[in-house]
Amino acid sequence: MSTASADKELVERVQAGDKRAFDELVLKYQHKLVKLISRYVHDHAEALDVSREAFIRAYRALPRFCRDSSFYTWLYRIGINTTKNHLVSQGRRPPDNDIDAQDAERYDIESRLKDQESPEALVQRDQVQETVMAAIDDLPDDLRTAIVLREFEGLTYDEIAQAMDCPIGTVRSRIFRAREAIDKRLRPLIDDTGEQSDAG
Amino acid sequence: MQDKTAEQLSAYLDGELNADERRFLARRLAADEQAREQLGRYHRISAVIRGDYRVDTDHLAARVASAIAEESTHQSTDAAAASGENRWNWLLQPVAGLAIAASVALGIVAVYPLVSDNLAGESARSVEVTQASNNAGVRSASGSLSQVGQRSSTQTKVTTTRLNAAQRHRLNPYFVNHSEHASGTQLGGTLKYIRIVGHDTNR
Repeated sequence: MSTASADKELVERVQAGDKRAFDELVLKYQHKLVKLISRYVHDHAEALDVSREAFIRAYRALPRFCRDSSFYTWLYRIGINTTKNHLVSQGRRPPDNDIDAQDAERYDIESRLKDQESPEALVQRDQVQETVMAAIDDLPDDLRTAIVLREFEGLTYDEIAQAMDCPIGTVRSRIFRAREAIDKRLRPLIDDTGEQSDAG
Repeated sequence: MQDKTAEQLSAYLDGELNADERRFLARRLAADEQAREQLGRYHRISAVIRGDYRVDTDHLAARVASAIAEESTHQSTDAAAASGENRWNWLLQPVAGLAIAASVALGIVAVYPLVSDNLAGESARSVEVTQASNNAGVRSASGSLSQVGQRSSTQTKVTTTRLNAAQRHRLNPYFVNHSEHASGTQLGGTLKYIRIVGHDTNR
């Protein structure tokens, strides 16, 4: 099932009255949305507030969401508009050049050097990133190959099974065990940085 | 949490569960806080690898969830259609359409004659005003060119304000018919002229 199909299913559940399905959409896109809004709102706490507002607006507008559209593209527009409104209400200049959602990923790469996070946040983020990469490096070969093909290359389980010449069930198990191993290394670090895993 | 459920969560994140497994896990996620936390941690790993991760962002999902809890629950159009209060929507919509169409037709039938009468009355008044103005002009005429000019401008002004473009457009067929009728009954009319020409030819 593609990301678009999975999102569509979650959107339909929310539209049918299942609020918990919206939690799943938030879990899925919260990092991406905060990263987007942080480009314009440089204070991290403020960026989180604007992101929260954007998600609430998205929830309210969800009955009008066209199911054939991409959920993230739609959420992206709401995120940008919420940010603009926030900056205007604060008497600050809103972003004058919009970036199309499809170009967002490319823009992310180009703007990485212009990141506006505080030095402490950058250090913490780098530590988290290094920990994850180190955890991947330390994985047994079969787990590492499976998780790399999935997370870095974006292959489906079927494609990974063909590449690794093993059943799909084995791929599923290897990816799960790789994630568990990475999470085990990551959790103490996240707790040390003061983050409560109240949502994940 | 059982490894089997955690493995399903991992596959769920990748969109690799079949429909039955997805339904089962959706129910589990709705009821099990631990399962949601686990799914959130797997999403966090993916976010770190993609470079999307930001410190403290994990607070956000809980904050949004508590805000959404105070919002009203959405009801899909399908569910709304199935509910009792909207059960007759399929019948009400065409009936309402017919009612609107009938109202418009009735309005046109009832109001148009009144409007037409008013327009006719306004035209009549227009003629009266023009005539009165002409009479006044004749009575006060003393050969003064300026007075004649003044009278003409008054006439033009009154006619312009009384007959707008729409009214002139509607009166146009009347003028044409009237002209045709007049041409057939009065000296100098076109039809009469043709008869005369025809008569001359026969002779």
